[in-house]
Amino acid sequence: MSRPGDRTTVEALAAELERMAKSLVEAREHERQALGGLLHDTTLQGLIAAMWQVDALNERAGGSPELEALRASLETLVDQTRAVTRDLRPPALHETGLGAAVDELAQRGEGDPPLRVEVDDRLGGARFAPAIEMLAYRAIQASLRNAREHGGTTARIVLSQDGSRLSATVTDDGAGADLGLADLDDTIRLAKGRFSSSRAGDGGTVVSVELPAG
Amino acid sequence: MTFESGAAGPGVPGPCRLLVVEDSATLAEALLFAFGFEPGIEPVGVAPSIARALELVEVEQPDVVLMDVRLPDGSGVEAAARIVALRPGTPVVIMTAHADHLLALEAARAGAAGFLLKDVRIAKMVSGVRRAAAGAVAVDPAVLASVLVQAAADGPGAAAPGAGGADLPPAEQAVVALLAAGLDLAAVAARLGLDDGDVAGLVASARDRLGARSNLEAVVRAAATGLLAPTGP
Repeated sequence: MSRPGDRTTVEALAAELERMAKSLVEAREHERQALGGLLHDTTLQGLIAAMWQVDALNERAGGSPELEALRASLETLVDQTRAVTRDLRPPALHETGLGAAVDELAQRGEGDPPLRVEVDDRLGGARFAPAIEMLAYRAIQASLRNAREHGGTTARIVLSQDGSRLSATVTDDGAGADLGLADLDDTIRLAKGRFSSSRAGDGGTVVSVELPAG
Repeated sequence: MTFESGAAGPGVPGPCRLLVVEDSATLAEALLFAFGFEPGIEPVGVAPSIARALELVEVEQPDVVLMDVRLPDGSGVEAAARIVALRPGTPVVIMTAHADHLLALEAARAGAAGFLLKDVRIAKMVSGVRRAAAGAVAVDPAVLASVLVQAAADGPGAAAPGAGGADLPPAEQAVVALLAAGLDLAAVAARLGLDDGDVAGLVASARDRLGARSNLEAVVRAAATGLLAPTGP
């Protein structure tokens, strides 16, 4: 017989909360993938189609500066939409694992000028629960976006496992630590993880995520 | 067969009959809109799936098939293999959003005739279709270079296990090397001082010897067996 306040009840509730946090992460990820797919199949295709139509008209017109300008705007929109699509639908984490997915993220070189990202992957191919890998990936992705938005030029990602904890640290030379990641922060906490961001000694930002490896 | 159809070259009569295989109606319409302005190219239909594409290939006998890499009922690369099996010699050009030389190599090994990027200006897409119709390898030169390097590194067994290093008579080897350099059949004929018919015969024979279903596949197989190195561009 357990009453509220009993040790066993509290433990059961905590376990239930953790389970729900993980299923929330998975549901949210599922939604993002669906949204990314929709964006790719409708908006992106439509923009490319419009670009081709402008091309055809432009050639027919023998090259018009107005149509060239319109083409350039569409090209920018195509690039931006493609970037959003890629953010929403990262390479399948469940296939490649965290290390490989983070590597791919680092090598995209997004940003203008591109952010140079170095990855120190000490996981040795270790795998974790899907929700844990997704949370770590999203936190790293958000950190890199933050670095780009705050004028960062380089970032360094360290992935490691310390016993039962998976740890990811992103250090950049950007000027902002305001990640606006309140919901990610909450979810990480619910999953029995820890999330922190602070200014680095030399003025950059350090984001650190710790998650249960089990 | 299709190489003599002469759909594209200037001064050669007969429009290039084009089948578009694209499941996005928006993209398909935009392609038809753009190709509609092109003299000498006559779109004969749009297939939104591989199944429909196979039907239309039989019914319409297109000179070129322009095919999306991702279709609801399978991959465009595998569909290319099915189309060249159904109607040998049909140039199938794969369209993709990503410049991926490994995917381009895969397409070549499936018997595709070309590999084009969706991001390019429509003029490049049009010229890719014209080039494929004229027997040229319809791949961007930079992508083709990576494809050939990869094919050479993989060696002859990579595409077809057990495939030996086929040897080509010098004339055929010269023709394949010029195809690898991006020339179409008419340009190869002019370069070698041969008739168009002679070149078509040499290409057909080289493809037979190499076990290739398209000129792109022939070039890739020649690269894999080291035949391109001495006479390369």
